Amino acid sequence: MAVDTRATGSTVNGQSQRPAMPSTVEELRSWGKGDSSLPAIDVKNLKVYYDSEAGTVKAVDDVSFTLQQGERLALVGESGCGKTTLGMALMKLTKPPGYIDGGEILLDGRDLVPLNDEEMRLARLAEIALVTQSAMNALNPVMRIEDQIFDGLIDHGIKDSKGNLRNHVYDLLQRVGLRESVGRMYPHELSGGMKQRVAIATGTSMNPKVIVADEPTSALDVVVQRQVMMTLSRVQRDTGAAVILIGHDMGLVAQFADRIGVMYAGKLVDIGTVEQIIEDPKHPYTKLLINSVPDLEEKRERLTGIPGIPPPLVDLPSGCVFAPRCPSVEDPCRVLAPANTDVGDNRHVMCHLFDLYVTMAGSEVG
Amino acid sequence: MTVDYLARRIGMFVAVVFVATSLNFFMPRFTGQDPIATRLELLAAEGVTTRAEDYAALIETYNAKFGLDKPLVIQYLNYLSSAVRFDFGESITKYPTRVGELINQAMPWSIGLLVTSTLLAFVVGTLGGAVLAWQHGPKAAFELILPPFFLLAAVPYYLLGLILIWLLAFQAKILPLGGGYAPTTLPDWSDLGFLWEVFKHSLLPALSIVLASIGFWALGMRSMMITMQGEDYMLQAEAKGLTKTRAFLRYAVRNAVLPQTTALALTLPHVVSGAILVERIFGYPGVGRVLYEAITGFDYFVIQGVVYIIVLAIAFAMLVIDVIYPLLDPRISYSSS
Ligand SMILES: Nc1ncnc2c1ncn2[C@@H]1O[C@H](COP(=O)(O)OP(=O)(O)OP(=O)(O)O)[C@@H](O)[C@H]1O
Ligand code: SF4
Ligand SMILES: [Mg+2]
Repeated sequence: MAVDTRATGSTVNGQSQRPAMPSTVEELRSWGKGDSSLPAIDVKNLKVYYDSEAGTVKAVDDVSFTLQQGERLALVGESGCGKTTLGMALMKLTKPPGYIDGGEILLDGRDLVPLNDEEMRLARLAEIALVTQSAMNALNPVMRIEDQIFDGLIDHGIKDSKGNLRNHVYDLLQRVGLRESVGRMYPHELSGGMKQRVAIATGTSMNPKVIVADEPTSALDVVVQRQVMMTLSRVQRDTGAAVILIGHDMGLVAQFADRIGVMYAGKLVDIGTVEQIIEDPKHPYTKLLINSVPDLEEKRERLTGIPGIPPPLVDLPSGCVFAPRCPSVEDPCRVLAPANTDVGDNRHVMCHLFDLYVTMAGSEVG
Repeated sequence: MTVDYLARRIGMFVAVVFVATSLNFFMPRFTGQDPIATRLELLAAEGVTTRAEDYAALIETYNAKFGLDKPLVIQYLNYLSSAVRFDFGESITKYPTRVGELINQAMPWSIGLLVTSTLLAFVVGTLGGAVLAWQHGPKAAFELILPPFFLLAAVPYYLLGLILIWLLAFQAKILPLGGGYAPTTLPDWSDLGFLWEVFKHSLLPALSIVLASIGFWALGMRSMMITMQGEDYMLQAEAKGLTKTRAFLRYAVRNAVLPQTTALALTLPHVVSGAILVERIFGYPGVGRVLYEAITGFDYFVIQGVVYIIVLAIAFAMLVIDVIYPLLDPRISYSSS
């Protein structure tokens, strides 16, 4: 049977003992609020590939980033650039033909990649939670809302009275701006915005360190979108969880996030604070993205209007993946892939304009 | 509201029964076949000869006896009133046995055989189909066991029945060839020996039904489960860190079983008509055989009786589904039409 990691804690890679999992609602309140010296999540050289008939799709290719406790990171990029693939891989929910080809996902210091199924199951929800793109259908149609939240708690070893569990669910619902009575309702009785709030309440029901929110508002209309984003923002402040928000809409995510990561063709090409990215876009792709949003205050602008199309991820150009569309492309770009370069202030860019190669070759920088 | 809903469903039930029962009256009459003539032909075939002048008189007597000389409207009204009273008069071919008696005798045999085998096939097939579609389950075992059943599902069960008879009764002589019990025993339901006899006789027909229909239920369940696994709530169940068992039972199976239940509810009422072919092949004394003999003998009254019972059972099953379904699926509410 399953290894019980609750009592002993995991000692994967000989690391120190982990705090015991909570077993009551009371213990849940202090759960996840521990030692904050470690990053909430530290992703190193993560590779997620799909095997397809045309070849290997490198949907997430050598992605690294670090997220501190309570930090909010927005991941943006054109459709198909690998955002969802990355988010799912962080939860280790990658499904065949996809697989994690390598890398580390250090969650609060523990690498998730080598965990077995049971250890990973316990980590989900309790340490890292998912709020999906399609919360519309993310609820079991034949179960009451509260029962669906109880399920997760019970399967993580919370053995408390029905009354305490119910009060906990009511607190969660209230925090996302829903009435207590929603707990007794069925999914079909809720509006889209309400379901999305339920998804947020469920995701935070065990105070996880990290919440992955994959386009949590894309199915909603604009007004509701803003409300749900504000709810997510408030819940994030309350729980102190680090959030990875995946979205298309630079305007909307810029209001929410502390940092922005820009993905292109499976690579994280630019990552920095919101100010850095918006006021001083470095990567040529980021520049185009920022320019394509005419007015950042006008929130509904989609990422459109960049000439050319993203390359097929099976057949990537040998040099820089952005070379075919890049206005600043130079000959070396077509031959040699740029490396992830720290340009200072914890800002990382993946472009020859900023890495050693071009600097050494004497080309202009900037 | 619930009362309103119930009233509407019951209204529906009455309407369905009325229309189907009326069709049941008119359809055999529009075939242009004469039941009395058929009866006399049968008698003739048995060697009972009639002189030509007596023949006309005989037909008249018979027609009067069975009310077939009256205008169609009167016959229809008589028929309706007898339907309400569950009294279908006497059988033409087995005169003077009453239709009700024929059906009553046959019904327990059909229900016993078919309810048991249908439920058994449903449970085994549904579970098997569910496990087969579940990527975490003990798949290997089921992958070996179930595919033959998918094959069997494509074989008509009467054919399967014939093969089973040949194998188990004719060649291996393990089981009796047919009938409900050995012709030498006297039916006595309090006698254990007789019960054992009945059980042995029901094994082959039951087996042919179960074997042929497990695949049907398993295929249905498997495809529903595969659909369910693509649903977002299954992904969410996994993201919530649920145990596989809970995600399997309370999320996947719980949803996939809904259409299966509907299919079962619509299959069960046919039990009252018996599995005509199976009963025929195995010489099983059920309703299927009664109906078969009534059709070949063109016995209006027996056909009407049996079909009426079938109609009632189906309409009743639909009523039950309608009343129960909202309890199984909260999306279907009592208030919606
Ligand atoms: N099951 C699969 N098999 C093969 N390729 C896949 C599969 N799923 C995704 N991909 C490919 O992986 C790449 C990344 O897809 P992903 O869904 O992660 O993109 P995304 O950035 O989330 O896009 P969107 O903004 O449209 O949600 C795409 O090019 C897609 O074609
Ligand atoms: S490496 Fe070259 S092609 Fe790639 S983004 Fe930088 S300048 Fe453009
Ligand atoms: Mg996506």
